[in-house]
Amino acid sequence: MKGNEIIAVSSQALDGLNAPVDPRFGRCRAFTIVTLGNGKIQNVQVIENAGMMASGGAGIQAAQLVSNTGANVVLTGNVGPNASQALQGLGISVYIGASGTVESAINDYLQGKLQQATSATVPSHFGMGRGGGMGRGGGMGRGGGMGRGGGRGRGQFR
Amino acid sequence: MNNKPTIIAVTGGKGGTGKTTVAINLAYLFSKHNYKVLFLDCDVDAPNAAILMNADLEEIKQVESFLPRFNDNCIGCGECQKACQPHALLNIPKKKPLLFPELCIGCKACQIVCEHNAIEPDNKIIGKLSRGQKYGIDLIVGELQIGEPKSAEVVRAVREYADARLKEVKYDLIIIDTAPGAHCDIIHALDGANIVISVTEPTPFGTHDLKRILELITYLSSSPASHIVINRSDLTTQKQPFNEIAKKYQASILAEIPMSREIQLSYAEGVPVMEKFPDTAVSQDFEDIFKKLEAVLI
Repeated sequence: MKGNEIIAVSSQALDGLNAPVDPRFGRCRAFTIVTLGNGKIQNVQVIENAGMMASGGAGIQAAQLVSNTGANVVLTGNVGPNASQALQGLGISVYIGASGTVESAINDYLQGKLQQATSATVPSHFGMGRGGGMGRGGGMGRGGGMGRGGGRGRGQFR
Repeated sequence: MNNKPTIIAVTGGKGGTGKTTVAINLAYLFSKHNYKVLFLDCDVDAPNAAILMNADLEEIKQVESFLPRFNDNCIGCGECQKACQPHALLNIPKKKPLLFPELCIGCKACQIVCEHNAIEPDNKIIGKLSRGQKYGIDLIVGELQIGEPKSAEVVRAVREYADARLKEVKYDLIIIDTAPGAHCDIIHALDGANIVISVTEPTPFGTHDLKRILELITYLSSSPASHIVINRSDLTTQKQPFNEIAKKYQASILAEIPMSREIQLSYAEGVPVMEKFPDTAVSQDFEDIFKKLEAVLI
């Protein structure tokens, strides 16, 4: 399974594999969509994240965008509660703690260095440019499952 | 007076200028002079007129807002998700959409675009209405559920409930206390007002926010008489251009109320200053406002 996937990497720039990874999922600049075949990069595509400046629902919007590309794996820094729930609902696996360039993040993923997240790793609106504190809870407690291993994503990633 | 009660709304733009204090003391005076007064607390984010009146409240009903519920007609086409402006819906291919209820603003766009009759109305509680009585004044209070974004809908619920009450009780006067600001809440609270009183203070902040609310008032279809009350009028020696502002927005300066220990004490105790200190300079200021308003009512 691993090595034959479409992977969406949250990115700070539009230059494909060289773009730095954006640690924010919902409010990243763009997604670099990398198609893997037999553990090799087959194709690279960049889509801009329209929800970057959304006042709310950015994580859900981004999850929808990623899903529409056919991606089944997301590599990012952190995910908020809505994004986490949305990606789970869409059957997309999330790996957190990605850093460096998109290419190095893909390599880290292939070498099993990234941790799978099955719940939110940051609170709502974490990735918004300014504080603001809109205070939306997350949670909602929908079962996840998905049948993969991996720890709970409460990591200290920055 | 005709059958419809006169509506006096008290607003002001800036927070903490004394809107509620002015509204309650005027309600108190009108009630004392045998006007049947209905008081609406439309500051649904921080409704505290009841505290300032020291009135007990009982809950009347909950305020609900629309949420979509998807039935088995849903084919997962995703049209509703595209129409959902606040991104409260996630389209999962071949399945029913996933709803994020806390993001839903109840606009029903999803239901309108759905061609499969797959969306039925469900609801969520966004606030509540309560009522009380004090000094012969009937009080209706709207309170927004904490964290809910739709405060204007709770204000509208207060107004609709009040309109329904008018069919059962004959009121001479409705006094409405609004939130600070110049947004949808305030527009709903000021709707249909005959007289709007903007309470401000002589600071750059008070002046700035006053201009915003006075401009909003000029857009109201009920074309209310627009009045200004300058509260804490001796707060600073710095002069604010209230005369020019009043002229520009066709408003009149109804009164200037200097700072007073009596207002502070009565405020802290939750008693109208008119009740606690009836024969003082400040109570005379309120009496003067009352007389000016009474003169235009008749």
